[in-house]
Amino acid sequence: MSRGILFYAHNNRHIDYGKIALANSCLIKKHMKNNSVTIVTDEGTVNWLYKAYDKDFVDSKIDNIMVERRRNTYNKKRFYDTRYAKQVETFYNIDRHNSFHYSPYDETLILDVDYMICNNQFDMCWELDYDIQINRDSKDIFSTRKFEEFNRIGEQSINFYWATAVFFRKTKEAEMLFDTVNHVQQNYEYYKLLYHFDAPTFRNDFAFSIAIHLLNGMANNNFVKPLPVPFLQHSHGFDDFIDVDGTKFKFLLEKPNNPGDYLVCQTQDTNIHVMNKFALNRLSDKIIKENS
Amino acid sequence: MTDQRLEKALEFANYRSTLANQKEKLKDRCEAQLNYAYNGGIFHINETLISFVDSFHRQGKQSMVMLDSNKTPVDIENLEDFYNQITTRWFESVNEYHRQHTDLANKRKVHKLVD
Repeated sequence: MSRGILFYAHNNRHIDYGKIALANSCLIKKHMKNNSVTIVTDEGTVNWLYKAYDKDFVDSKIDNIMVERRRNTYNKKRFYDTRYAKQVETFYNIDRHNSFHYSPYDETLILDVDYMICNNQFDMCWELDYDIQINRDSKDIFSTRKFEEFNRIGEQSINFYWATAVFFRKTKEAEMLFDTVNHVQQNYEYYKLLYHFDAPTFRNDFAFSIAIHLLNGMANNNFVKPLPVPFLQHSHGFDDFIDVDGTKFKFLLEKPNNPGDYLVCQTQDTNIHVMNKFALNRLSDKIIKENS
Repeated sequence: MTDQRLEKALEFANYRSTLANQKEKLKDRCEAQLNYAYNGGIFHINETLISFVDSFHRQGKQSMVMLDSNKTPVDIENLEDFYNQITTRWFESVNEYHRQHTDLANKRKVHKLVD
């Protein structure tokens, strides 16, 4: 049985997803046992990556690079670099429904490139008998801050699932899940009305949440099981990611009741979904240097 | 309250918030380490699981079926091995948590909490 991790990385004008993927691959190689990495990308992104880093180094950290044609899309997303700066940019990473066919592995863990892996807990995915694993639960890095948007996809709608980390084996059920995600993506406007949510940008999380709900027989059932981590830990776009020392990550977290005021926080050996992509871009070189 | 005293109070409040958040990070890390995969199932190691397994282990049972965290039945073929593994993991994680928690409690400045 082949095992590995699948990333999607398509650069836009401001965010170098290729570099973030390389940084995360360094972390994965350092911490995980099942550490074969495949990246699905486009010609522009991979050329830019090879221009910035030595080809041998990139190839030692990323096992397979799959180049596909980047689709033109009007999918715009707001990217924050703390509260004080934001960019509206195209979000190209919307080809996740192809994972079942793209993945060269029998057992695949799909990860967002910005979900930084600092321990080996995800190695347990491959030991479990559950063929599809995806998490509902998440926790903000600032313990007293809560976002209702990560609980349900709309105020009166269904449960929210994180497409940030999805494990699957190549079974009929998994294929059905990805086909359904594709169907939801193709008919996103309809599903927005049906499921009562208003999000201008296509979100993989929403497409997976809806697909899971559909395959559960329009109920809260157990078609999917949670990953072997109790929750996904995440920061916010309003937070700043300021320093890296090995697997110690330092953040400035915006206080929920006092915008513009920050609390310093350090994580250690903790997987963390960094939402401020600009800050992650700034520190990617340091992550690569400290973890390669 | 004078400006200076207020400033000190706010500084202390900031220290307490940072300390509370850092303690929460340690707890989260410990919680995550207590998830344990065994024979295809996932178990969250806690006092209840350890006592439950120990009670049957003491009675001389060598194997049993248990419900994992997802309520899926999992065959524990070697109860002694399972017991040893969960207790080892428990002690490793909780002792480390205790060490770091004590370490944190002795730090009195914000910058030291995140050193």
